[in-house]
Amino acid sequence: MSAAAPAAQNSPAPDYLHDGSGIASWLLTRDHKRIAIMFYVLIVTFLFLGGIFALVLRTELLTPERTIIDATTYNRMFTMHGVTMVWLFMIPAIPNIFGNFVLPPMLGAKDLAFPRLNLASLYVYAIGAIVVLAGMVAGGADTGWTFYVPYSAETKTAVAPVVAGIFILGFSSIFTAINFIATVHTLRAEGISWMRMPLFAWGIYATSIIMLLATPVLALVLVLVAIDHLFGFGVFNPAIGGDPVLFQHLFWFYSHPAVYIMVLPAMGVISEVVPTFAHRRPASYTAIAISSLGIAFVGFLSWGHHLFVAGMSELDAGIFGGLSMFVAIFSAIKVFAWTGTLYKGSIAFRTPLLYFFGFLFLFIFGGMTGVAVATQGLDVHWHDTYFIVAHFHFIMVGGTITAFLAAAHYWFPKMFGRMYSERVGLLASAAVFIGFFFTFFPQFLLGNLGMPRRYYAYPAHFQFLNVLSTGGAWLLGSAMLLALGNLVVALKYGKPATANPWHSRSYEWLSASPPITHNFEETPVIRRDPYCYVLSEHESRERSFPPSETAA
Amino acid sequence: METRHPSFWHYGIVYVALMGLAVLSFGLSFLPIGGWQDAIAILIGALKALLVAAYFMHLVEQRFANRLVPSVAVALAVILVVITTLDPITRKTFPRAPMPLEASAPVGP
Amino acid sequence: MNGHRLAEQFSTFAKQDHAARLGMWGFLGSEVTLFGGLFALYAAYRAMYGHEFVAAVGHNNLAIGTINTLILLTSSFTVALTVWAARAARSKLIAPLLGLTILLGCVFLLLKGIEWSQHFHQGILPGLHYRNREMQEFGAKVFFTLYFIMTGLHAIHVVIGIAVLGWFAVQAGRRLYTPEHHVTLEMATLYWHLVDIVWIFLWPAFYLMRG
Ligand SMILES: [Cu+2]
Repeated sequence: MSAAAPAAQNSPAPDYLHDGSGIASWLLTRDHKRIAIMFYVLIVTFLFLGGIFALVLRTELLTPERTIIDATTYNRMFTMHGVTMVWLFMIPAIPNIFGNFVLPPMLGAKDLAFPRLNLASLYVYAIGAIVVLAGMVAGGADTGWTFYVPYSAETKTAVAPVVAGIFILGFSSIFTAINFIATVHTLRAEGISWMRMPLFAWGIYATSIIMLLATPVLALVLVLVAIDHLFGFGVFNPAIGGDPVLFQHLFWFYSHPAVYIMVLPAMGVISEVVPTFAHRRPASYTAIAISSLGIAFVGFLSWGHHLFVAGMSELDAGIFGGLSMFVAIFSAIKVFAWTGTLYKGSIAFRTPLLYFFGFLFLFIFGGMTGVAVATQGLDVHWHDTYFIVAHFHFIMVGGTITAFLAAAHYWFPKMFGRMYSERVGLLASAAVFIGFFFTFFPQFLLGNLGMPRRYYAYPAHFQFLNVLSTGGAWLLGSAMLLALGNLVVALKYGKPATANPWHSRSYEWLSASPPITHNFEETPVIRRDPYCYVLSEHESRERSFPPSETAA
Repeated sequence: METRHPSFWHYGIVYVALMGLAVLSFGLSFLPIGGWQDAIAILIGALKALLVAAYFMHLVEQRFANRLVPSVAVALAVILVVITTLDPITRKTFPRAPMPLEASAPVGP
Repeated sequence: MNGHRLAEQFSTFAKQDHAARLGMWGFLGSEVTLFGGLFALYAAYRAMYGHEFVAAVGHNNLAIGTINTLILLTSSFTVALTVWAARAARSKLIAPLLGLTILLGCVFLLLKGIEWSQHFHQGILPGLHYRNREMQEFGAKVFFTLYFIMTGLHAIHVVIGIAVLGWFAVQAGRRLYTPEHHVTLEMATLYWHLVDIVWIFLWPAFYLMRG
């Protein structure tokens, strides 16, 4: 360190990837960007683990009876698929990787408000993941990712470690949420008012509110399940008068808003990608920003649509059915704002934008079926069938995966200072969409025909659609490998990226690619908004740094 | 944030008020007024919590954001309590509460 | 200096303190929804088993519950005074006030423990371990399971609070807190007040509402 100091005096500051080397400089870093990269590695690992579980499940379902695994293994496998994908991938994916990396530069800040808390969040995540994995190695739970009582209290499988791991992961979510909220409130650079924040920051902010206030209820309900499972303190146990429906109330008080923890950051990514590649101001900044808060709020009030057939009261079912449909209004506002942005824009067909089109299709299709299942009469028919599986995979998995990949490509030059192969990127994007469609569209049909979810065997006449779905899953898996392989290859062989290869006006592109440790050479003072495509790139840069220094 | 800080006596007055409310709540709990007691106890509790939050936790002198965060949390907690409780109260098709096994199904000899 | 360092991402101490307070309030907000979930269970079960809850509340030791309420309110007062002392430049008072608060917290736990052991002797235990013969209804079993879970979780918070305040009492002995810089102390007191507020609602739920 001291030896390098004299040499570095005249040359520009090193980028964050080269500012210190050795394993300790990573493991003990407080730089939000390095923490984001470590999250990236962990989370992508779990994405592939969850994906392998999914492929085993789909392969098992190729034939009506046993194909490769027995029924108990199958039950454990779909539980582990759900747990891994929900808590180890989708919840942390966009906030902890891309939120962590780009939120501070988007606000013109040097770092998050609490860098040590950020590092703690990483370690807590890692510990939680290890505990969950230990539970999987110990046999895994066979309850499904929802841990419904009374079964979860009675089953002999390893519920306790899996639940404990998720409990620990909850703290990671809360730490990150506190950090993001405090950062948005206190670290916006001079000139970045609330209504000048990039839309991704709004998405992350709304997400953080949900993470902060919903996660504790999940933690609570998991503890209640665990102490029932381990010690028989069954507050939901019908044998002592407990009501399992109340478990479902509390569980979904978290787990419905959790859908917005996944999809609000995804919408935030889309809200950045669309203006950048349409080279145009969003059709309505205010509508997109405020509808994020609207979704966060209404999302808290619609948990009961998961209980329509659980024995909930008629009045509550009516309330929840109605409130659930409100979410569609806010989502539709966003969809119109995005498509309106494209209108008369000068569109650059790059990989992130192609992912946006995939997102748009899956989101609208998933959203419309969502309104349908919020109708109680229809839900009675579709509840616990593959229709529901297809619906939530379309909207939350499709939404998150496409936006995750869009973000991975969009910010790749910023994060690593290199360009990926556009051709392979476009190809993989199209393949992801086709694979996704063929995996889950047949499941809508299967569900409507009455095939229940989570069943190991099925009647022979369902086989054709199941084979179609399995084929789609294998295509999807290969396409994901291709997309991420493309990025990994580009890490080493990609062409060097300029600071702003997409000619975006958003503030994070004012930093170098990759950014220096404190993001900006000089402190930005913003005199423009983040979507001012009427200004030239040069002009918008001049209005981002104090004139006395840029003029020199 | 250059507001005048509360003096020792401000804290003292709030403390006396809290103790007074606690004693009041204790006394009122002996009134034979049935379910109204619950409402009174919760109301006095809310008042006490508000006093602690506003003066002991200095929420009155905080910025808007610091007041907003706990307010949203309290609002959500209230919503959770109310809608969840509304469920058993308004159940018609399904029984309000789980029934003992003997009551719901005939037991063999 | 004395540990009050301006982190490089902040431009002023005012912003740094604001971020610290906002972060703490966010954490307290998460505690609110945590206990909110438990109170939702309590309220829903009370709606199911009204009479049995009333009888069970009447069974609890009103004297201990009430004394504990007064103790926690007093401890909230003493811990609030530490912030007053820091602001009034009387930092010598901080350590004794924290010590008094911790003492009150310990008395609270002691009384709580006595009460729990009374319950154990009567065969009142959580969940499937419930053995009491006088109150055999579902409502009583659910009530006391909730009672143990809610007061137990609260007691865990009291223990954590005592540990945190103890650490700050040691720090205060080294006079770290000045009228300008005491935001960390203030955050610790916020946590203790939250513990008090939770008890403010546990008290009526488990001791007062016999109507
Ligand atoms: Cu939902």
